[in-house]
Amino acid sequence: MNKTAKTILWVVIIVIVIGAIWYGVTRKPTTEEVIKIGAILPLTGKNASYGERTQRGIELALEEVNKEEKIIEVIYEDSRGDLKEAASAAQKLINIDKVQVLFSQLSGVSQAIAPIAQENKIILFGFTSTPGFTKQGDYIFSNRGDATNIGKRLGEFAIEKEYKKAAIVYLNNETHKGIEEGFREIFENNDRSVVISELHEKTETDFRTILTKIKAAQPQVILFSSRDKYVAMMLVQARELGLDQQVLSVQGIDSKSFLEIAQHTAEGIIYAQTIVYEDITNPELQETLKEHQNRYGEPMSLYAANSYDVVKLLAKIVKTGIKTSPAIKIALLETRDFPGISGDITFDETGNVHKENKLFTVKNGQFVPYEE
Amino acid sequence: MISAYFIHLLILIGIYLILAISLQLSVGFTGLLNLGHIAFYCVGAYASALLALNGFPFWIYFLAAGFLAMIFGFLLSIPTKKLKGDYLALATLGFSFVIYAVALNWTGLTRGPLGLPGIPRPTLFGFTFSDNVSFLILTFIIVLISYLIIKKITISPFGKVLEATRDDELATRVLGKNTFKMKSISLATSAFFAGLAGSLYASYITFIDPSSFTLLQLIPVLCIVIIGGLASLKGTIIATIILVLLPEPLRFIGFPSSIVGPARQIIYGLILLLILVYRPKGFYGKVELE
Repeated sequence: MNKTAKTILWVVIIVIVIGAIWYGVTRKPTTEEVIKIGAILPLTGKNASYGERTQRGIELALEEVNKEEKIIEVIYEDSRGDLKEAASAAQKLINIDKVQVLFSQLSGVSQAIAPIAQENKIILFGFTSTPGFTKQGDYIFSNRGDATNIGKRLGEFAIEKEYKKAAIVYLNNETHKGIEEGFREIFENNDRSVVISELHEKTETDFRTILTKIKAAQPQVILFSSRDKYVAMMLVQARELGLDQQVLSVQGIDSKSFLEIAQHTAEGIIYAQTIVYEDITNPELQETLKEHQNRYGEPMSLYAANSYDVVKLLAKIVKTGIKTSPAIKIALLETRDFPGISGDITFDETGNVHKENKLFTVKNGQFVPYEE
Repeated sequence: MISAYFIHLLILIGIYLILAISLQLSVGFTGLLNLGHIAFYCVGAYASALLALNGFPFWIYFLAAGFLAMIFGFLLSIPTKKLKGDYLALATLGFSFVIYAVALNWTGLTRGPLGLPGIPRPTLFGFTFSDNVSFLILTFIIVLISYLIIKKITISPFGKVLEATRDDELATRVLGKNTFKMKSISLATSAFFAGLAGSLYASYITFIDPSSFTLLQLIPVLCIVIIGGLASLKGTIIATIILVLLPEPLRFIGFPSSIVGPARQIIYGLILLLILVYRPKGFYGKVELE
């Protein structure tokens, strides 16, 4: 490397360091009254889009709750989906920043952080639907509910529609496996059959082999249980292969990128999730939905709604003067029907929620509640 | 408690140290560009986790992790014994992918991408290393023993032959040394320690899934070996400490929340680049890789 290149490199570094110091100095010092939350999200890497949606929800909620006086501060850490990295971040947040609450996303990362949070008696909100996640300890919470319930809701719908044979493709992880099991349980207990059930990996983008097998099995309904971009790719490829059955899907596909990949094939897909749009009578929540649409150019996603609700709930608890993790835990368990965009929040004794899954569909390129 | 955070980092340094010095044995001292190291680490972690979950005592699953990885190391050395340089790198890389695919797809044994949660902390003579301080002491002892053994190997006549094999294999064979056997032993020993590191990792984090054993996870270890300098144990130790601690101060720079993730990684990358610009052979590097 020659001298010019070295000089450029140094200039870049100096600019970054000065920028960082400048930003650090101008930042308002936090007072002792503020309660700190540590958010360990996938901010870079292939899962970054999920972390970004969660972050949007947190930011929106923070603006509202800190409007009059700063009561909550959120410190972000990037997990990159790496367990070691997430564990380091959790240790730093707990021991140095003295956070009282941790947020985590992705099932693997949440599983790795859960023992650390429980040991230090720090509340952990896992933004994951991993079945049994909250049973790992009394400080472990989730407001997304159990994945099996989503599967059950879709199963009930398929029965209502008199479908006799179903095919399933699901992502090979804890959440989507739970959805598959929930669907199968309801569907098969009513004398119908799941003719084919295939799992796929996060590295796959070509589903034609699976879809051809499905075509041969001639199901009446197909369930794609996966993340937004995979469901979109499956949809496009399924329609290409001439599969014209009704497609069911699950929470989390409500993103801009889903519509961008799936285009017109997205029309008519039916998916279940706990978010509520139209029937929110609460004007404050309506305002938030609008704000999200204005700022990010897309309707609020379930992931954003989940994190938004949790921050709002914590703010309500903190405002009553409760500031430490054990006290917040008790207040959380006492919460009854806290109004949230992703459904009202009431925790059971393990710290999980049981929200009603509603059906949605895509109509004219918009996510709308499903009507008969 | 600032100390709890540092204890955690010291444990990570310990695990990385075992991984890096054992990789140094095969890459630096023997000249085998071994990209299968992460697979041995994976084998060790899974062997240890599965045995621990089935109630075996610590010393059994810890050593079993090492020996199983060692067997894999030995097996890998048979088909690759005539390969050199880039070819060996590709073959061992393939091995890494195979082990990763097995961990991911043999769901009956490894639970696939769901991972293995709730791995118990080690118990030795009735004492459980449940808190991080005692775990750090355990890690430190294991690191020390591993270091001393590898150090002993490298300064022994056997180690000298390994280095001779790296520098000129033909000449070494002319002197009547069985270089294939030498390389085999070196790779197996290196794998043994990677297996031990895997066992420590599994019992420390208490949860493992295949994503912890991808090629991306090998790159930091390979960085340590190269930045520390090939065939230098002192350099490896310094590089391990620096590379594990390097991202940590970045956590304390107050970036705006919207760019916090990417900004830290950019700076981390820049610093690595700078080190290699000023020390192209690493801190204490003696040789260059073919």
